[in-house]
Amino acid sequence: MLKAVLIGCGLIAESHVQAIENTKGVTLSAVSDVIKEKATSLAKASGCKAYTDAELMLDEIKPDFAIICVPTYFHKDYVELCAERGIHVLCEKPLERSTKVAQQLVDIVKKNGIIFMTAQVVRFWSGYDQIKEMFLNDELGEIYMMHLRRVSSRAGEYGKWLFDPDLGGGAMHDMLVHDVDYLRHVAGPFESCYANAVKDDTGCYNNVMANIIHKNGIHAVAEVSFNMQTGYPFSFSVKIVGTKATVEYSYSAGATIADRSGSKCEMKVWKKDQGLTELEVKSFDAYQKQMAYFINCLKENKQPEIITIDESLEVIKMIDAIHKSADIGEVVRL
Amino acid sequence: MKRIAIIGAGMISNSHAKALKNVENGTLCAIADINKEAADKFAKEYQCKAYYEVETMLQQEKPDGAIICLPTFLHAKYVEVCANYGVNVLCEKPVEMTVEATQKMLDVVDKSGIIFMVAQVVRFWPGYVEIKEMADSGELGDIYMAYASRCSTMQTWGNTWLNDPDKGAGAIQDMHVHDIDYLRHLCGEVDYVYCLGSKDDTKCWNHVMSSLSFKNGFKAVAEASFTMRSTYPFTMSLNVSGTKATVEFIYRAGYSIGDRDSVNTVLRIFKDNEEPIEIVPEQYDPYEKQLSYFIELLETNKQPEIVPHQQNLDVIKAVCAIRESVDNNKIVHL
Repeated sequence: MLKAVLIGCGLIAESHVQAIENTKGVTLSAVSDVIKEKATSLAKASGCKAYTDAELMLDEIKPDFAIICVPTYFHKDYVELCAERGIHVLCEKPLERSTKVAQQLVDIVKKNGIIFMTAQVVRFWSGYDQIKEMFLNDELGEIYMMHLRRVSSRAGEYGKWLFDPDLGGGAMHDMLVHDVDYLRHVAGPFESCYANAVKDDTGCYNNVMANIIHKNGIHAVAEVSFNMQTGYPFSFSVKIVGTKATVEYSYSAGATIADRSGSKCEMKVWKKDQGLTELEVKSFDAYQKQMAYFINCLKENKQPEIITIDESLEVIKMIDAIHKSADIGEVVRL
Repeated sequence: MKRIAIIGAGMISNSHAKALKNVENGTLCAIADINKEAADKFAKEYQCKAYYEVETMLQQEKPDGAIICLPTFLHAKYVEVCANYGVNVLCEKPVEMTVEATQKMLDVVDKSGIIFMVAQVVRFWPGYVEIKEMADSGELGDIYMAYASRCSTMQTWGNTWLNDPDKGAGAIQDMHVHDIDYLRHLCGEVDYVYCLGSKDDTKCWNHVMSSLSFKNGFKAVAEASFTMRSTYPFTMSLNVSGTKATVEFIYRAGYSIGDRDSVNTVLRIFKDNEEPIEIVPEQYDPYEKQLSYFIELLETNKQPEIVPHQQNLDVIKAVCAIRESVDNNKIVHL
């Protein structure tokens, strides 16, 4: 039985706790948060120990791995605490706030030889996984255009840091990282970007249309927003137009991504000369899939192949390039 | 009763002829097409006189107005012919292929004093009209980002000119002009553009995503495509993320845009701290609305305020800038 701990008891922690509860061969031993009430509340709900000091927790519990759910700009620091102790890490996305610090994080991981994975959960998400399969099986042909969309209101209990331009960076960093990562997954390395983006009253780029050209010539526009008004469901979608097929996948949840009750989901495929097919999108918990995969990597003592740390670093470089493009209003080449 | 003649018996002339039947104070008197068969067939179907030569028709019929439904690259030439006879013109979109041709046409119009309007029918389309009204009344607030999309399978109504880079230029000109025009209507003057596009086997940019930055700071992305596969229904949509409201409009027709029988359309409005509203816009014929407005202009001897001449020029400038951008993968300032 593998022993897990969780650091940072904010919004996303719950998804990982549930995933552990539903995954065989792993148990949650403790959680920590600098805010005592948050730690005790989550510990109570999941029947484990609570800490306010992550280092103390790591030293006392000696877990096999830690799930890092602290705000983005703390990721490197907590990865370091784990890596020094030889504790493997599943780290929430985005990997870090800037390329510079993300590079430091990667160096720390490699120096200490721990198993590391960024929780880019979209790579495990139902629907997105089917589209990845279509790419692998060449069911789409040459791609004319991809449009990925991820929009939300700010109704969720998001931390204040998320909408601080330097700490969380708003939609351009926290939301866009999902789609940029997914594009890296299905379409490979990046060539150039142009960001059509607007800052709102938070000072963050919270409405972004990122125009992306991949090295293999695939064109994509990734759209994110945190500025949907009251009652707008957390929504994401993918449209792919290829020579062999047009695909439309869409998902809408409750007000936040954590609220997956009453979600709506559909996948439509128009294959050349074959008319419309509506594919079933299997309903499963992507966090659980992600956890099971990570646990398997630990058991086999190998680095994850579905999400490599080098790709995670490339993704942060791309987000930085998109940010730069928005700042200077020019095309940025990678 | 205003007597209207149609020049060009192609696909779109049917929309105007059908609309004319239901317009008060307007009647169809004649059709002209160099293709005798097409002219005769049209004349028989809509019970008007057939001509095979435009000037003969204008001389003999002395119509109050002519609707120009010719291929785009012939617009300027025939607007001039009409202007020489003092015949008022409703001209199909795109107004012309180049900024020079458009400018020259507008100069001819100015000099002759005829009433002139470009048939930018989306300005009269149910759904788009409501969103423009919301913007004008201040209900949307400032616009963070608008996304206007228009996707279709390849149009095959016997039109080789449409996918000739100089005569029609495919989706980037023929489809895109609708949304560039509407965004000019909604957001104001365009400052600079960037376009991500793919060519298909016609060598036209038949899938494009254009980023528009407006002088007032608003931002938008317009999408146009002829690349959808199989039985993909003609789909147009408009999402606007504003400081006061989020609105989403979608119109999904049958196979082509004129197929309004099987239409699926909805307008959703989300306002801060209010219950979301879902409206099915009334499905009137926007071509009829447009023609009624044109005939009203003839009766009151006024130039169109809903589709101002200067904006027609602005729109072709923007479309040409978009074409320059996609050819060179660079930002183009207007």
